Amino acid sequence: MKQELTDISALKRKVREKNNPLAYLFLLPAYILILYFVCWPALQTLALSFTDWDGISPKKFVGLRNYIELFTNEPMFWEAIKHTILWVVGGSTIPVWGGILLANLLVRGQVRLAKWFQMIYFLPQVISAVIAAVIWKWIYDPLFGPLAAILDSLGISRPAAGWLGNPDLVMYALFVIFLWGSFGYTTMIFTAALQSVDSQLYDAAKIDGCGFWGQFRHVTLPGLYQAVTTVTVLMAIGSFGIFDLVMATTKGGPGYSSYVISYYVYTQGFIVNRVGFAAAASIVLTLFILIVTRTIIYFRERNE
Amino acid sequence: MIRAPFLGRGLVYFFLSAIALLTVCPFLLVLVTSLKTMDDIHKRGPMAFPETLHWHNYVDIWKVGNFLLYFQNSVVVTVVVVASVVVLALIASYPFAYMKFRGKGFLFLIILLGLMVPLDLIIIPLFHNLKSIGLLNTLWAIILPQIALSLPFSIFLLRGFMKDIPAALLESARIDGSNELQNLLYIIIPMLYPPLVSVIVFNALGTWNNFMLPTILVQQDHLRTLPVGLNYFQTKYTMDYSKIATAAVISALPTIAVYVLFQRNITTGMMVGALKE
Repeated sequence: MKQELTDISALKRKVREKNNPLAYLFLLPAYILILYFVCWPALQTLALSFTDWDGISPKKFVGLRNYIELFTNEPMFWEAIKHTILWVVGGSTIPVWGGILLANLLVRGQVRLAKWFQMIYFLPQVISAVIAAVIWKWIYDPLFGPLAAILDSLGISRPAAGWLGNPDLVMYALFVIFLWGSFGYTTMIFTAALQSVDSQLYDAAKIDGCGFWGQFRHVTLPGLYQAVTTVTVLMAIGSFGIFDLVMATTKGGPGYSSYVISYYVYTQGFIVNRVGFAAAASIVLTLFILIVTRTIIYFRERNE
Repeated sequence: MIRAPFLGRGLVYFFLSAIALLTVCPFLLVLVTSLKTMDDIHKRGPMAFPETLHWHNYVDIWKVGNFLLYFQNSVVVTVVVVASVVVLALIASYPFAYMKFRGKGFLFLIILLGLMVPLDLIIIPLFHNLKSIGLLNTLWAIILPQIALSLPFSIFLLRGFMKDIPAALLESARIDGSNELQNLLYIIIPMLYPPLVSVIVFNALGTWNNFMLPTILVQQDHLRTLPVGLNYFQTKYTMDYSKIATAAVISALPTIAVYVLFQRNITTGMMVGALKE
């Protein structure tokens, strides 16, 4: 009898070692919040995307109609897609190259005060996008702005409506703000990654007769391979979510010339109340993000 | 590169400094503008240094509209979010690092998915859910989703650092009769000081700067946080750049101060976020 009891308690202990129920208690509060405020709404969006809903009256199931409309009957959405793709292509390349260049100069050039340079480059990253928007809207202002004043005093001609008011230039003007805000981040990550590259590799490359470019190609780039992939993916993801910047500068204007998908979702869902439609657009946005990041990772891994 | 030629080194420094200057210029511009009056800007042009520095702009701004309330809201939201995230993420990452339980892989997958969910994907139902439970247009409408959105990264980061603490330490404590909560409080937390600071700084910056959540989830002026209030100011006082500049500087100062003080921790957090994957 006694023997049996100890057997059972040993068994119980064994089960507990495999499955400690206390763990669920520890996870419960965090998971209630994550499930209710993140996971559940994500599924709801998917369900909403198959309905016609204005936010108040009963939802009407319409199947794939929203998706079909989006791609066949919404020139505004196409504009938004075009701008978003441009932005993602620019955002996942230019700041990455700039970051590699600067990190290379800072680390390989054995620059004194490198920490200070890095800190200054990073500063725009810590302020809210709205503050960046406030500052740059003023810089770009055609009447009182510093950029206009500088160009005028140098006698260089400039667009009359300013940069943010010009339909052809507005995306580039916004991209400059994005670049200003993001290259410090890429520089910081690449600097850390470069510092962990074995310096003996550089000595070996030098003995093999590699110059500055040779060392860069054969030592630096391979050493940064993993970091480049991750940063490219992160920058691509970041480029999809430029709602803040657009909202605080141009509100998609002039006309629709700075519409991006995430701003489109906002106007459809909260301004004109085509909620089901907006849900479909945000599903498309999410699929885009998944496809782009998967593609980047696929090509990088294939090249390895 | 042992010693590049003198000229080359000079060029490198020149290039790096030029970029640094271009990066700080917008900050300096907004700082100088915040110390001007609109008269200065009209008479002397946007670039000129003002004759007298109008420090009183920094006193007057608190009486403009609801600026004081925006600031208070930002402080309240940030403090509540950061405190909750730290506590919840600590107790949630402990089982992932040290306990065995069924469904561990699946539950951690939810964390990894949570890292990737774009705000755009959840914002529409979030709005309607908060409306139906009566939280829309309260500060909770910003606080609760912000906590939920911050948890995955914080849990991911803390679990990563917890795994580096040897489990043998906990085993010996368990044999000495210490329970799991005591383990967490007296053994793990004291050893997690640096990553905890990263979690605090990261979430504080992210919450303070968040724009999309409060823009959509609160619509009354007295509930706005600084970024939303600032955005409202710049449409309301379009012609008064010095006022907007002052408000912008005050909104940016806390984050810049936090960054300069905790630079190292921010870097650690970034590295984990980017490279430890």
